[in-house]
Amino acid sequence: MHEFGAQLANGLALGAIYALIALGYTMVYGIVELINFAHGDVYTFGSFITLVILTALGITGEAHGVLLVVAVVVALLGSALACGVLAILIERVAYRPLRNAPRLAPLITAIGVSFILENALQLWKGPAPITVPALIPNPRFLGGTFSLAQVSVIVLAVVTMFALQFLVHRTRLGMQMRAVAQDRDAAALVGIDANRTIALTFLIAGALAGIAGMASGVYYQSTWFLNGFGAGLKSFTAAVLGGIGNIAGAMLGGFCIGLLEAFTSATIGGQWANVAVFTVLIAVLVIRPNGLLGTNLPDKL
Amino acid sequence: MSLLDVREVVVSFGALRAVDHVSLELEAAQIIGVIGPNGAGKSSLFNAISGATRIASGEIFCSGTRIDRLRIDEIARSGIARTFQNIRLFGHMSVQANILVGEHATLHSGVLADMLHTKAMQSEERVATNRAIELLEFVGIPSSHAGRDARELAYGEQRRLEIARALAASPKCLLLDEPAAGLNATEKRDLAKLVRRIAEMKIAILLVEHDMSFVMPLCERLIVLDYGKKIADAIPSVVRADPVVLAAYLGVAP
Repeated sequence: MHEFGAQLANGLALGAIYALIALGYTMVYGIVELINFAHGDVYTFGSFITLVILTALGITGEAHGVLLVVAVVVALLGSALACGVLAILIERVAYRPLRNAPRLAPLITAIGVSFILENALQLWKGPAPITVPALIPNPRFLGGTFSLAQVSVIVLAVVTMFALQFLVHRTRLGMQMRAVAQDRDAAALVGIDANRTIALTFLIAGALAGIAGMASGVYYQSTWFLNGFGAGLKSFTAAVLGGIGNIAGAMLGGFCIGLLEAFTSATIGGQWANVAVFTVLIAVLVIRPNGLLGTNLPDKL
Repeated sequence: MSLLDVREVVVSFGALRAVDHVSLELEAAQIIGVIGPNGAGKSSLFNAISGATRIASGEIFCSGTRIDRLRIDEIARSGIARTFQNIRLFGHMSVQANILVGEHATLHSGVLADMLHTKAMQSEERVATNRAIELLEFVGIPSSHAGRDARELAYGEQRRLEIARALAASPKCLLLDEPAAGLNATEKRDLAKLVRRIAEMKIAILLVEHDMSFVMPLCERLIVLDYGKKIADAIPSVVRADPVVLAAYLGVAP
């Protein structure tokens, strides 16, 4: 029973990180129908930036009180901002020129951008895993099952999802994003600057990856230049599992995959985790081709 | 200078001149029809004015400002709104949201105020919502439909919602691309009334239409296009008797 609780906590925390990344895949797909393969590497960039910020603040281990709050807020905002800007740059340089090209062109470009980022990150911090300071102190909750870091990551992901739902459904920017997603030309003809709207969508998706990068860096206390490759692939899977283009679906998919991975690793063995994840994905897609929460119609965003 | 001033506009697709040195002028509150056989260049002319197609040469002015070099969304914000031959609403958004999107284009609130839902923002949004409901009622859609998805509306209502969305940005000039297509006789009569009421609001209206019984009594002037060229520009009764126009429609040499 204790083992079950521990794996539940692991799975939810891992799932929360997948969910945060998946939200970015889903937002970008929703508006430009592009699988942004570079998104996972933006997430890695976030964990690197977090390390830079914590180092600059002189943090080498657990922080307490005001310092803890300051460190968390600065690292979170700094990472979100840096990744948001990186995502906008990628969109501007690599995707916008191909806006009207056949859909395969930006897809291949995205894979290319991913390789470029991975190599740049390797040049920056080398090929070996890097330690991130264990910022969060470790009191435990619910009979010792959940650590503070786990609870923080899960709460962060859920709060972010609600904020995103609010943004998409209740603000003008959200309304413009949905309009551009449904019919870019008609949106332009009612006066919406589609390029600006798409750039802001990339900014938001990048910021989400930055938040995820900070969370995972601090939670796992480690990162490396290929961190985003596997996490990106699984988060993309989470977005598809939940129904790509659907915000709640990305969240649900993220948690499903996180839990599945944690329990498979604990019961059968870590080497089977990916097999389990992709078996479930295939099974779900056979029964519900549009994902768990996807609709038949392209209900993008 | 006229409200809308189109001068010697050319639209080319490869060797084909879809619009060939067409000029026209449109004043506020005027209703002008553009007619012509299929492929005459009517839609290309509309696309050129609204910015969807780049013009090869010529100039287009809206209340004195040159607009033919602007982006589509800038042209829309400079006062030109349009509807489409095949309806292009945001089907998965509510009826009200479709109109609000059009209104927002003319409002200038910052992204930050938007995200934070500031007090000023909320009151501005209430005004915009009230106006959206007024516009709905103006085009004859019951306000009880405001919360439904646009795709759930009946065909005739979708056509009118497109007009409401176009009016939302308070345009100076409205381009209607075959607004009567697919409507029955009663709906056409109501549409004609609606178009007149829009013109009374000092909005200039340019409309492309196939249905002569709809266009003749409604427009004060008709422009006839054939193979991209303007072959007539006169009051409807004159156009109807013009041998060149008859020849274009019936395919005989004048």
